[in-house]
Amino acid sequence: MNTTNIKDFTTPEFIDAFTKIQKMFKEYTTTDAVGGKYENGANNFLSEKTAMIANGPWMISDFQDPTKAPAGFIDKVGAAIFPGQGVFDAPMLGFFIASKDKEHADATVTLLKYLTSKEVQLRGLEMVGTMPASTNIEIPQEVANKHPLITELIKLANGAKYKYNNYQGLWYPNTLDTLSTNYPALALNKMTPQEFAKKLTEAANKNK
Amino acid sequence: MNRKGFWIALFLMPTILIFLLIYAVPVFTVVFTSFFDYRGFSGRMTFIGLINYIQLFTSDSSFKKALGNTLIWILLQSTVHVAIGTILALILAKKRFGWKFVRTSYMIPNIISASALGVIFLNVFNPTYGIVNSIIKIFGNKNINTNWFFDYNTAFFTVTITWLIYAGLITILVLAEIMSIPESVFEAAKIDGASDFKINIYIILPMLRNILATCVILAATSMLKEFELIFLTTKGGPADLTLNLPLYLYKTALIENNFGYANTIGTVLIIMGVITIALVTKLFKFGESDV
Repeated sequence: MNTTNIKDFTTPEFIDAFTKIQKMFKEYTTTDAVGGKYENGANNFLSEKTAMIANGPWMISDFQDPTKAPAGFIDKVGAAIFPGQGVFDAPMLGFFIASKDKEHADATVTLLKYLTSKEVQLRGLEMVGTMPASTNIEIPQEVANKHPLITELIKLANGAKYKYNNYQGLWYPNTLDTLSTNYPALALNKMTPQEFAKKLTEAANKNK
Repeated sequence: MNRKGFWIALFLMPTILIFLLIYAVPVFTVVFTSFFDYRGFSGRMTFIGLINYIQLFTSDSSFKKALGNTLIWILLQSTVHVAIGTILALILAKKRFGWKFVRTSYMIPNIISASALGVIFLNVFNPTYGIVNSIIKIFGNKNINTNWFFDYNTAFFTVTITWLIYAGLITILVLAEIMSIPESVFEAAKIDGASDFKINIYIILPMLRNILATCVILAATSMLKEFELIFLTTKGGPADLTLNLPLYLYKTALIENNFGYANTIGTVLIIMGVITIALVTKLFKFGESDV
């Protein structure tokens, strides 16, 4: 399963996943979820029409933003990882060094080491609630008190059994497009999980 | 070449050069590369003859759906859309109270950017807070939660509505043509006892033949390049229900990186455009004199 550019979506794991997605669309979400964009999901959650949203720590600041959520909303929210002890791994930043001489390259590496140091990661968490990239960072109590939700999430994520890689970076782009345009068919029961898997496989196999 | 011919050639040269560089060379490239397996950014091309065309017309279900949708939209746009614009122009030509206001306000959807229109329509047809479902709820059906853009039964209709009824450009063109008809023609008809309806049908409409041909060409060819509103709303879904040829071309070229196959679709689009213009020109005897 841990592979890039998947060409076969008809395996039992995928069929099982698509069956679960279909069930969630049919029974556990709002009508605008089909074809809906992020703002539909976010608005429904922030206006308390839905009890759960699958999202990351970047959304936490919205919980205390009075222009987006009602007062005290953040106190009602708790964090959890996915059933089966899994967590979605969404890398945020990456760096490339394009310096042509060693002196500049070394200086850039020094800067990157500073930007990714424990101190800066902790400062990012303290100041703007950014999730530290490293799993080895001990969070001081005063920072934990300031950001209880993200601290809770960090603890849960560090104890996760599985890390799901970002499929947007692992699948062929046309497979992702096929996924989004065919979701309504799956959600509205116009397509079985098997047919959905076949569609994705056909799209993936257009790539050489 | 005489002196006059020299000057004509000289003045035409910039236009011809620009046409060759901007249109002729790319069109030739599109047609030429449609016979190649041409993928990705490597630039490697393998000649495969008619294989792209054979695959397109025999085994590509998405292409068949996109072609069918494009043809339906061309037909609807060149009939219903033009008819709506023309009828409104005929009404406005009577210059009743508020005609200038109606003329201006009907143009508004035509001057709003497609990206803004896409977002507006997504909100108008939103199943939970959209104005369409809200109005239906007021008038009785409290349980309506139709997801207009993504329901199998409504997606095609909803996408079509985003352009079909907004015929402001047609109205402006036809109205300008009606205004240019000499008043004496109407006076003569009225003296002969013709009603408003008969004047519209037997005098005005025949005199609008050329402008109507222009409108039909504009409306039909606009459907050969319609992209933004579909991309911003349904992206061609659910499944391929609202896919058209320009969107399919975009997906094939920029999502699948299959440029050869995309250019095969592009060649089909060019041929469709030429056929559409030829058909309309013949049907309306476009450019021919009435006498």
